[in-house]
Amino acid sequence: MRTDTIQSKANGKNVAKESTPCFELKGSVITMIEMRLLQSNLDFFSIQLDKKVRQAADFFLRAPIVLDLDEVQNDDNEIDFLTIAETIRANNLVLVGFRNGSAQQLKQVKNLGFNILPDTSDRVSSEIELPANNTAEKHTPAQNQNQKPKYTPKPTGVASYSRTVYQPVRSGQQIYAKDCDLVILNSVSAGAEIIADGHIHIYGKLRGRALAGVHGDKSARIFCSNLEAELISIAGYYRVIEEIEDRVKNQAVQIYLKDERVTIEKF
Amino acid sequence: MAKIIVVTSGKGGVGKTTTSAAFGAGLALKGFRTVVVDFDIGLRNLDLIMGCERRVVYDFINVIQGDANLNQALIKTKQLDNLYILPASQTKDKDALTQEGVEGILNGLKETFDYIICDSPAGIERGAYFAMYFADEAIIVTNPEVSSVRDSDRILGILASKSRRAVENLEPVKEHLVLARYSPKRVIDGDMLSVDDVKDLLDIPLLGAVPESESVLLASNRGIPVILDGKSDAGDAYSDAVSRFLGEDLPHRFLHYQKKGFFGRLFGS
Ligand SMILES: Nc1ncnc2c1ncn2[C@@H]1O[C@H](COP(=O)(O)OP(=O)(O)OP(=O)(O)O)[C@@H](O)[C@H]1O
Ligand SMILES: [Mg+2]
Repeated sequence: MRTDTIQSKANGKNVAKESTPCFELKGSVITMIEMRLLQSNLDFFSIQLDKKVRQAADFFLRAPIVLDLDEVQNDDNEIDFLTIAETIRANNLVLVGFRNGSAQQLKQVKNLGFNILPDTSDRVSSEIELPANNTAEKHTPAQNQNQKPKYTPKPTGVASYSRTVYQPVRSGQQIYAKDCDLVILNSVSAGAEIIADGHIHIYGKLRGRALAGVHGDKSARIFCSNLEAELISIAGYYRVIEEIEDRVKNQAVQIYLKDERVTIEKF
Repeated sequence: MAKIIVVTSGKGGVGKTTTSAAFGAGLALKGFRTVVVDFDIGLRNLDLIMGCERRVVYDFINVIQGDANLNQALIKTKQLDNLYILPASQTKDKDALTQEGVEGILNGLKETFDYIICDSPAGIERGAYFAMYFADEAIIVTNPEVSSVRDSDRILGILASKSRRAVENLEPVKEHLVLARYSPKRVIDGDMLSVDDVKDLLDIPLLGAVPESESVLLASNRGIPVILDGKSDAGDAYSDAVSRFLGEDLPHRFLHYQKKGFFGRLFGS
């Protein structure tokens, strides 16, 4: 029976060739939410998460979550990771994995079958090659050549220091400006996402999500002529629409990080 | 030069087929040779709305698969000599659509017709994709509610990035908006988005707002495009929209709520 099927497959059209690729790999940026666990006592974890998710159900729906254990690394109490994972799943979030835990915690997590992601310290050390976080330098490459940079700058190739989009960015579209700024000369609809390693400028209405400095550049800013955003984020710190004051809504604003807080300032 | 127009929306049940039939009839009334093509494979109802259902012998898929030629499948409408429809198949699956097949049919139609109107199915899958792929112009049908506007926005994004004109770097597909099932009264009551809200959100030119009207259902039950009714406000709105589509500059009627006066109440309207 078994050999029959195998044979008929081999005789049929569907014969595999080693040269025919089964997959292709592409670089891609996915916005993830980092959840920092602040204590090992989980009595109110479920209630608090539920409350948070309700504030912005659309935003959180199936959002990928990375659980960061940095704050509880030295906490000797056993943490109930299974309950955490189940609560996360029950809220329609996707738990991608854990990071920054103690060796003991990460072992426990691994035994439960969860993924372990590289610690942020690993990432930081590899990012040290970026030019200093002064964006002016990014814009004037000549300066980089004259002044001796503190760190070896990453080779940036051709002088593409910004990416410009002329068309409206519609719901369902995503635009990523890698290693540079993003300039949008039109509106960004609800349900659209614009992402940049550098600054983001929007000369229309921003109704979708804008994420600047996604590779950790805390000096990145978002400039926009009319703020109605679903979400804004600088270097991974974010605010959803419910957390944006009416005072700044529909205004021309700039958005930046101040003391690790996303700050919105009217022009 | 023949023009291909897709009537699309993303969301279902917003009035695409009603709009396709109305535009088909409206353009034919203006003297253009017009065909409406039903891309809603498996769920055809364009032929019903246009009163041709009893004369369907061959369909779109039969032509793609070579079982019939285009002339055998085209049906002339009873009301207008220069208005035809190409019905969808009720039995076949939408997987029977192929790029070459659709292109072949559209090229064939271009030889005879001035306007080819593609009535898209709902959603953003195969049928909707092929309906919009070859389009020169798009009529986006939206209802004045948030979810419908969001879906239309999505479709505009797809037109701007995945249509033939986008892929081949040609001049972009020309976009038009039809706001269907509009009820100025419900806007005032706060149940619906206003024309201005929708224009602001989608930011494309408005061909017209079509009022919510019982005459639409009556017309489609009788198999006569509502534009030919003569006494229907929805029909009049479509006829204005067709004129605007052809470049006329008409003031918008039907946008604002008018309390019916004594005679209005007496005679209805
Ligand atoms: N202006 C209007 N006033 C009242 N009813 C309307 C109006 N426009 C459309 N309708 C009704 O709405 C329903 C859906 O219309 P239609 O079939 O044209 O939508 P559609 O977008 O083609 O739907 P589908 O996505 O299923 O193809 C029909 O019953 C139709 O009679
Ligand atoms: Mg339809």
